[in-house]
Amino acid sequence: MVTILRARGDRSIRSFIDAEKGTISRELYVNPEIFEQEMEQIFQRCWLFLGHESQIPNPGDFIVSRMGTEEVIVVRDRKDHQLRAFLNSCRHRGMKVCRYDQGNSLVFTCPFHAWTYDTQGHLVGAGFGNHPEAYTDTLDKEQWGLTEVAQFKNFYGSLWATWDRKAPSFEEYLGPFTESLRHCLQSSDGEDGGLEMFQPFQRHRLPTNWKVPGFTSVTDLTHTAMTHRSAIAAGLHEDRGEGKEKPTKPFPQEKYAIGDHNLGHGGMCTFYLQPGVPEYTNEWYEPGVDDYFRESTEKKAQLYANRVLAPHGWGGGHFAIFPAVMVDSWRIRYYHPHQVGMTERWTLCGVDKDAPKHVKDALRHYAERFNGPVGFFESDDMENWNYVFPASQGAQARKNDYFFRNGLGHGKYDDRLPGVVVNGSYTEEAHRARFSRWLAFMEANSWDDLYPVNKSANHRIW
Amino acid sequence: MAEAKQYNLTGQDGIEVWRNLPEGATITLINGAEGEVTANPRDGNWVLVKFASHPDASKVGQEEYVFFNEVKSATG
Repeated sequence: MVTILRARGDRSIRSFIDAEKGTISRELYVNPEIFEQEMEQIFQRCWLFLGHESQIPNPGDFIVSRMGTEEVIVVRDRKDHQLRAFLNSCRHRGMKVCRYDQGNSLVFTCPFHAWTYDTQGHLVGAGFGNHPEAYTDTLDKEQWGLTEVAQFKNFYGSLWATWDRKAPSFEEYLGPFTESLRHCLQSSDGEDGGLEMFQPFQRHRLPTNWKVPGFTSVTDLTHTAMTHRSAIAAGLHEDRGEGKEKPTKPFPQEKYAIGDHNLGHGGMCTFYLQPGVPEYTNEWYEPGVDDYFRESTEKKAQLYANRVLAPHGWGGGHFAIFPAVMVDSWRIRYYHPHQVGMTERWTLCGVDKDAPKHVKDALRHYAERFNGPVGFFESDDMENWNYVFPASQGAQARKNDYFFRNGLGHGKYDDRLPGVVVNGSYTEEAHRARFSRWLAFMEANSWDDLYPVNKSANHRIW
Repeated sequence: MAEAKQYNLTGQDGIEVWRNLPEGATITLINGAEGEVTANPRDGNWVLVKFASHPDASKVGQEEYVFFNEVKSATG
């Protein structure tokens, strides 16, 4: 696909990335036409995160989530209890049929002409639907249900969807990161799908392009010393307790920055070099919390006695799922684009669903202290993200490309994660991988051109 | 035997009465159909009704959402 920048002549999307120099044009972050193409080329095709099943446990429960710039209703049906997702837009005139963030409902009624849909998305009524002088035989209700996502996946409690019927299965989409995500969704004792999410979750808007936090806030270790200097100096990074204990014996492991240029996923990575789990070390202020986690870690150690941990999760660092989801052992953070310079950030923080109240309280308090606009750590990040956009938008600023060269040429493939490029922890390998995938999506005509539907595709550009 | 309660669905108060119409209430439609309210989404617009009688015989025993302006009366 070609972008036309009228003031500066026609340029192909590819020309905005100089893979040899390791630079990216700021146009990718500030140009509204490119943003519009991203919504069509990327957000209409990718698997996108919608939420967690613990948010909608009962028949009729719903949440309104987002897929790109559009709202979707995620609802548990009253009859078959299945989860489904629908575009929040009446088929008649496009009005939102649900104007609440979450709740429980029998039906979704459009407030315009009362077209009404059940929790399977079927049109079950319309105002004057039975009036002899209204629709008569012109409204076939079976043809006018809510628009349902093309594919929906409940992956160990996390909910995902895509608008594209041609998209590969969710597991194929994740590729070698499937086990990493599964591991992050386990409870601390290793039970699959053992988490629930705190409610309400954190949501706030960032006046920046979605790729600023979405592409480069994972595995960005060179920012921590400066951006979080004051928080670290105050000891707040150890805010769970009086400073984390040192383990009595090291657990053999290697840490890297990794990126899958074909899939776009990547981030921090820990390769564990032996079966089992690292020793639990005390880290909480609140009484009894360390006891709980020590006990659950012992249970997990039994489960993993002969298994090597996936390269993410507790202590393994966080990673990104293309295009805009960040996952780690206690959070799922995702970025919804609204406009080229406006992003909505949602953070779901997880906790063992069977944990006692004092443990849930401690984790919730920590999540509130750390995350969001009033969290002591992430407020630092937001100051950077928010000013990046206006400082990159001007006519002069746009002429200066971004530097993405950190570690370029030093990445290597590693058999432990096939297809994934492994590089030094402080490099920008994960960021470059996301742009390899970004370019592939922006140029592709359909999933037929894209890995893994096209098994022979190689999207790596640098 | 106590007489069935007649719900007043007219005027501004009628909107609220309709919104809170309980399951089990009987409604009669303008077209003469009659049925029992089996669920109420409490959105002030619709109730789910199982028809005991209906001019279209195929709808007897079926459930269908009924819009407020199709209703003649409600008792229960």
